[in-house]
This record gives sequence, C-alpha cells and structure tokens, in this order.
Amino acid sequence: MENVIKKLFLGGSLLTALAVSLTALGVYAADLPKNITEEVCTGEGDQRVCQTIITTNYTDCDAFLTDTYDRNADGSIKTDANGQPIMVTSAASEALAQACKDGTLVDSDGTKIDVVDRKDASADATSKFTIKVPKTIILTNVTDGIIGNDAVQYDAINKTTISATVQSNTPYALYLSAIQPNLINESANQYNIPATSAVAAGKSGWGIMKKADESADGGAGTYTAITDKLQKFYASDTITDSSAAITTNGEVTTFNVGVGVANDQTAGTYSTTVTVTASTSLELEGTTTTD
Amino acid sequence: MKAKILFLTILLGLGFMAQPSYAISGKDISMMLTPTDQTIEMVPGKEATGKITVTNVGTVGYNIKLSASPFQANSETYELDFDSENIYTQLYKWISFEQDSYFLEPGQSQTIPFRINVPEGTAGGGQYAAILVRSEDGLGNGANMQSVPQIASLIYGRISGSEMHPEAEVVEQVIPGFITDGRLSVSETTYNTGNVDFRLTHSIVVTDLFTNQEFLNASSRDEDGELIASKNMIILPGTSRKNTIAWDEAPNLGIYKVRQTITFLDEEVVTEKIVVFCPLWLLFAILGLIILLILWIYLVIKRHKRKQPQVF
Repeated sequence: MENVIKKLFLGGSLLTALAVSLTALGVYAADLPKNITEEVCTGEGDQRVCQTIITTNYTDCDAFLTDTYDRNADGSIKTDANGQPIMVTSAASEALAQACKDGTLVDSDGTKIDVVDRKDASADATSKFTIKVPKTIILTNVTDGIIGNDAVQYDAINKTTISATVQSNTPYALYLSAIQPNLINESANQYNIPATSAVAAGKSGWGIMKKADESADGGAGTYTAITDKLQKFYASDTITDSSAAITTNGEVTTFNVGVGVANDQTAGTYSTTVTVTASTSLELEGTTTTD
Repeated sequence: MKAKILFLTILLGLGFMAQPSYAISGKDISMMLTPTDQTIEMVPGKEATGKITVTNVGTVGYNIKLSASPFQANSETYELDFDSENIYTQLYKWISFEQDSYFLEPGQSQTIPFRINVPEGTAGGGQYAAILVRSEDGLGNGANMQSVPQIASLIYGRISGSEMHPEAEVVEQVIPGFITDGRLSVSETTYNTGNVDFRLTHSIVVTDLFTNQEFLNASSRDEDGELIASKNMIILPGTSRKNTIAWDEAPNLGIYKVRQTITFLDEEVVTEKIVVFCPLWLLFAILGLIILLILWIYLVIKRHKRKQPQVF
C-alpha cells in the first residue's frame, strides 16, 4: 500500500511538473508581442495628422530601422517641401538602430518603445496613416415591419423584423421608441394590441427583442415592450468599417418583432410608428484609420 | 390630322404628369450627421451658437425635422436617457433653430446653425442636450410597423462661472488576486461628484513579477487594432460609471504584477497588485499530491511504529 502511494505521489509530481513546464512554455510562446506600433502626430485640432508605424516580425534593429522615417529632434517626422515624409538618412538610421539595440527607443511622446521581438525571423514593415476627423453617423435602410400579408396565426407568435444599417467612425447605439406604443386598429382606434414584454401565442400583445436578449442558439429570446421613451436596443462594440467609402457597407442590425393575437381580437389592420434613433456612445475619441 | 396629333401629345403629356409620385419609405432615406457630439462654451445672459451638418447620402430627396431634447446617462448601465430632466438637462430649452425643417436633395449637405440663449443668472457647470434629426417622409406606406429614422447629435454645454467645480472620486477598484480561467478582468467605478462632465482614462500594465517584462500596457492592441488595456470615457455629473478592462488571452500560469492607472481631472490613481495565474487542473493536481503526501507520511509513521521492539 505504502509503495503504491509513493509511486502515485512521485509519478503525479513528475507529470504535474512536466505539465507546468509545458504550460509555461506555451504562455511565453503565445503572449510575446509580435508587433511594434509607433504613433507620431503633427499639427493641432482638426489639422492634426497622425502616422502609426506598425512593424511586424522584423529580423533585428538594423533591418527594422533602415525602413523608417527621418525625424526631428522632438521625434516628429521630417517632411519635404510637399509635406511628404522623408525616409531616414544613414546617420539617423544608425542612431535609431543603436537606440533600438540599447532598448532606449522612444516614440514622439517620449514613451519607450518596447523592442521585445528581436529574434523573429522575417522582416516586414507596413505603415498606416491616421487623421482625426469629426464623429459621424450614417443611418440608412431603416426597414418597416409587416405582418398580416399571410393569414395571422393565433396559435403561434407572428414574426417580422425591423432593421437599420449604420456606418459610424465611433461606437454607437440604436434606440427604439414609439409615440403610440400600442398597435392601433386603423378603422376603430379603441381596439389595440398592447406593447408587452410577455409576448405569447394566442394572447394579444407585441414586443421587440433587444439584440442582447436574443437567444444565441436561435431559440425564443426575450421581448421588450416599446415605450414612448427611447430605449437602447443595440450598442456597437467598435467602430464599423470606417475605412470604407461612406456610401458603402455599414453594420446591419435586425430586430426581431413578435406579435401575439388572441382569437377574439377585433378584426382590422393594426399599426404604429417606430422611431429608430442612432446616437454616439459616451466613449472617446473618434479617430479614423485608413490604410 | 394635326389636331389629332396635338390632342394625343397633350393627352400623353397629361398622362406623364398624372403618374403617381414615387412613394418613399424609411428604407430609402440615407442620412449622415456630423458631428455626433460637440462641446460648446456658454456664458450666462449671452448667446452661443453651434452647428451640425446633415447630408443626404441616398438617391431620393426627403424632408428632415429638427428638435432638441434633454440627454443624461443612466448611472448603472450608462445607457443614454433622452427623456428624464434634471438640473443638468435644461440646455434643450435654450436651443432654437433658424429653421426647424429642411428638404435635402440627393447628395446635398446642409449646415444647420442653432442658437443657445443661456438665461441670466444660470449657475456655472455642465448642461446636456441632444439635437434630433428625423425624417418622416417614409410614413404612410401601409406597413404595420412603420419606421422613422432619427440621428442624435449630443451637445456638451459648459457654462462658465465660479460655481463650476469638476470633482470626482474613485469608489471601487477590483483587481483579482487569483485567476484560474486565463481571463484577467480589472475594473473601476468612478463617481462624478462635481457639476460638469470630465474625461477619464483607465489603463493597466501587466508585468512579469520576476523578469519585469511587460506583457500588456496602455498601447497594446488586438488583431483589429483596438486598444486592449486602455479605455477613455466621459462621466456626466451626478453619475457613477464602471469600466472593466478584460484581457482574454492572459497567461495560464505565472505570477504577474498588475498596475491599474485611473487618470481624471488632475488626479492619477495608481494601484498595484500581485496576481497569480493558475489553471484549475493544476490546483486539483496540487491538492491531490498533498493528499497523497499526507497519506504516504501517515503510512511511513505507522510502519515505523510497527517495527519498534516490544518491551515487556
């Protein structure tokens, strides 16, 4: 018995030590930064122009720095008479290469650039140009929801969608509201289908699903009763395709609408008007990046 | 014959004129608004001005309507609230437009000026409103749920005066000490105790405790170029805002130093904590080994006791 325990302990210790060492190796292989990003800005206010240099997988400091730009004493990029950046001279290159080797390379703001990936194999430098632009939202293609072209179902929730396409250079949110939240009978307005969060088959009531409340597996999800106050139904995480031309692309957000109809609901056409509001989120700062 | 041709020509002309105009829906309206937010300095008793630009980026012309509404943020979710009124949302009442509706041809860009008349004696501090631009030209097409597109432009008003006091306090900071799922989540909550909005920057730096090598800092970006470990946000007066920085690809194993920096107004709050990253399987393995070790020691002691000579 004692021998079995002893073998189990020693074997387990060995296996654990092996697993730990492999995990640690995996961590270091996976988490070392692969890129160097350096941002240099010139100008003020709306005229402020920034350049972000991203260098990937370079061989060594010399190879990296021979393919970059000449700089002024304050770190800003030197430009020619046409405002075009000037590539480094050999002297500047050597100075920067030495700084790179010494680990003292800094960007234009004096922030140290962490050169940690000197051992990677290939050299490939790319650059991006950024320009600060005002925050902009484009709202297009806001569609209507239609129910009742086919026969209305009493034993199931009748479904339709409302969608909106937004292109923005800043995080944004979509808010829905309706001055008249209930669906009103167009010919006899004393009859209505009320806005409710408890949309069910065979029971009169309608609701719209917030994107966060949709079932991930395409299942039922939860409806929200629309009100006359703006409610957030969707928030974007990031900037949407701001590098594209303003009249193309954009993020399409589709909201599921459910309408339950009771057997004794008065006949007629029921309708309302939904306002789809796009607004910027309370985040900072709007910079658009274009390749 | 000539009279017949003339008659047919007139009839055809009238026929073309009688063609129903193309009914547009919300789907046809493409609206661009810029800027979506702006800060305007104001002086009590004086008029301030601002402008927004609305561009018809679609292929059909449409009318737009303008209105002003309050804007605040819900303290818990930081969801914008365009309805509630408080002492910081009086600005919408002072906004007026030269025209409150415009017709935009396709491709037309319309600059819309507005005036802000701040009443005499208004206390200094922040005031917040939204200018709403909507088009109802798509209504009346027979759909059950007709949609009206609307875009909001947020106005951050700053009323000068001695009463303006930007103040805030950090009410909560969470840096976990032990992580088993490889996901580092660091959060902070700051309460705006003043009467004007301010910008806050929240960032973290993760360094190896032993080598001091940086794994993550305020400049780190993900594959999409988004900042991972640094966030900027606005905090409105009378609200608190929670912000969480999550690093999903944190190390599975190791001991790291996490430095959280919160910068707002003229303050910088820096907090450091040692964080142990250890996967769950390793915890169980260590626990199992400890149990085996105890059992082993127990058996060894028991064997030694059995081997001791008996004295009679």
